[in-house]
Amino acid sequence: VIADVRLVLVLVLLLPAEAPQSKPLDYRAALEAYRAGDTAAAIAAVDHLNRKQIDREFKLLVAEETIAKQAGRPRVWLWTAAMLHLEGSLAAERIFDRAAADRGAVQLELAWKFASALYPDLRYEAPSRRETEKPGSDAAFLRAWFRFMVTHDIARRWHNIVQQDIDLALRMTVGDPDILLAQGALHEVTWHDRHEEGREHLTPFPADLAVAERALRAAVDADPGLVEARVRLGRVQTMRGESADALRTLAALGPGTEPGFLYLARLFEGDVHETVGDLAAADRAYGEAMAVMPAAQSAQIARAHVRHTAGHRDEAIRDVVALAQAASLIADDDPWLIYRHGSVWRLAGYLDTLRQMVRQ
Amino acid sequence: MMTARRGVTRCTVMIALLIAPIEGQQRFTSRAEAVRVDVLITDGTRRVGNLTADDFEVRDNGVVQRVTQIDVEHLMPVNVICVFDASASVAGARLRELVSAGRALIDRLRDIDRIAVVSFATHVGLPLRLTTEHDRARDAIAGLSAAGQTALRDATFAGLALRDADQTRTLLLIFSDGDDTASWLAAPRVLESARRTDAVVYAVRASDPEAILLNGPTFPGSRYGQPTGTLRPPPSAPPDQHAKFLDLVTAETGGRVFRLDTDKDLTKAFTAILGEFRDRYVLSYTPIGVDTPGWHELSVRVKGKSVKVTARRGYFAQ
Repeated sequence: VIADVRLVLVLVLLLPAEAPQSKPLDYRAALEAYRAGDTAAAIAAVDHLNRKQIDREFKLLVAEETIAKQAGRPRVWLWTAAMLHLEGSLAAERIFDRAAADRGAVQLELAWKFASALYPDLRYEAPSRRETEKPGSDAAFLRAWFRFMVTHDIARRWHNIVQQDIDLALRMTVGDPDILLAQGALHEVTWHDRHEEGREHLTPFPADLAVAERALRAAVDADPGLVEARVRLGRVQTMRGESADALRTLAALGPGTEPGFLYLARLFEGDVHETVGDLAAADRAYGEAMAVMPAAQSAQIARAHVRHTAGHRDEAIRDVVALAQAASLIADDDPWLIYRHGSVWRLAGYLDTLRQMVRQ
Repeated sequence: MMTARRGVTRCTVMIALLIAPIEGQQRFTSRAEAVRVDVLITDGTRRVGNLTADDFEVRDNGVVQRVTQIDVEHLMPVNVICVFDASASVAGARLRELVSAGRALIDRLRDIDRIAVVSFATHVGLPLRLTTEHDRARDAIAGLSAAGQTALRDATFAGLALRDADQTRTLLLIFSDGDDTASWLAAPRVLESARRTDAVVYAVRASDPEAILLNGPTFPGSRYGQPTGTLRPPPSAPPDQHAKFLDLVTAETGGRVFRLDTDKDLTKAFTAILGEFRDRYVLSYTPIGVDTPGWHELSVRVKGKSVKVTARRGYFAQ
């Protein structure tokens, strides 16, 4: 439960708010304001509308956009409405009280209502990969939409609905590597919650590391440059006890890898060595992680622990003292803190893509 | 000075030197190879006093050992390593109660006792290393501020590691009110570290205020239904299930968990723990017939008496 609260904090940090303003607008004006970049005014306007009014607007918009679709145009106003309500939901997430949480939930429902209007036909008639990559198409919007939503919902631990969305998104996007990554992360994160954090009672979703490994391999095959998928694959192999495979996967990530992922690769490598009892190799790998990101505590505590286990108590104490001296640093200095919530660091980029699509 | 140890659970000659001035009491004959076992004996509620070495039976890997009893409460110094939750959920009134309880604890320490303060939120902090300067400890606790996530397991390990800075009998006192959300170390690894020290771990677990705040939203009939991640455990779930780690680490080391209904009881809990720790017997023996390195299972019983014995489950010999 608390993990959820604190995760919201992480999300808020990663998703900066746009400048607040306030002027009353009707629904259509709110959509236009949002497309023009005045998010705060647009959110304020829809906050004042009741469900009945929005349902009426929904019907009108769907009818109008059907004409656009028949004319071969993308249904940009449906995108806009979906995005506006999503922004309303994200804005509510930044406020930590029950009323805001309820408001956010309503806005999220509305966002899905508009987004879903885009895909009943696509669902049964999947677009080609080329179509999903065609700039400005409904299929491209939906791909960006699902990338954001599944990543967001994994971080919120809404596991069951995420799985449905991932299944749908994989059909729609023809095996999009980011969605495959999300599928792998969903099973990995949930398995960790259930089996390593003891939260079985909060996580009924049946996580399966074999599914995670398959999805992550497919993600790597689809996009060899997707480094996060390689890191997660190595981690999942570790969790499955495939130590040699895990070491091969992680060792392939060398200098030149983005520092956050390089740090995680060395940290996870150390974990593999520690698990199989090679404490000296674990010590070295944790030290290499520390060299990549000296302010991150997870590798420091890992090395202190391995030294304690090896009987090098004085060194362990020195590590503990050293890590505590770095404790004033902010949370997201340590990639591990983000990693355990899924691909949260990708959210800002996904959101930016969606905003740009709507505003072009 | 003889400093050889069998793992970290072996006491040093220093203990014998401290005990030496006790006149006329059959107390402690320590050799460098002695194993020390911290034991609480109660009749279910109250401490059972006046026990001697002959009353105890200690088995090391099943082999009965010859015990020398020591009652340390009057002369032996103790180390108290406070491991305090300073995450966001502690902010406000709870933090004030924690500071107040910390002061009360320090007030009950003797000049020879040492204290350290480990804090944890998203990161582990070390506001104060082991010291007899109790005023600095008061300042360190008063200076705690609460924000961020909860790295409970990492902080517990840090406290256990600090125990090795000094071989004095050590109480690790954990206070927390939340689920671990930030640690790198998995529970089994911290439990393994606990087995490798002879610190006795006590924990105080306060109720979780944020669970009430996020007992919703629920979206009846909606796409999301009841989002699993934002709900409290269902009524059928065992209460306080996510506090399992505290149960395990305290049981492993012979301590226990105090669960609080109200923060007002925090001071009472801290002082009760210190009192209970001082009331424990410290048994010492030189292992015979069990020279193998690795994990040694311990069992302690009091001969001929129906009492409750609380002790660590074993120790590592290197």
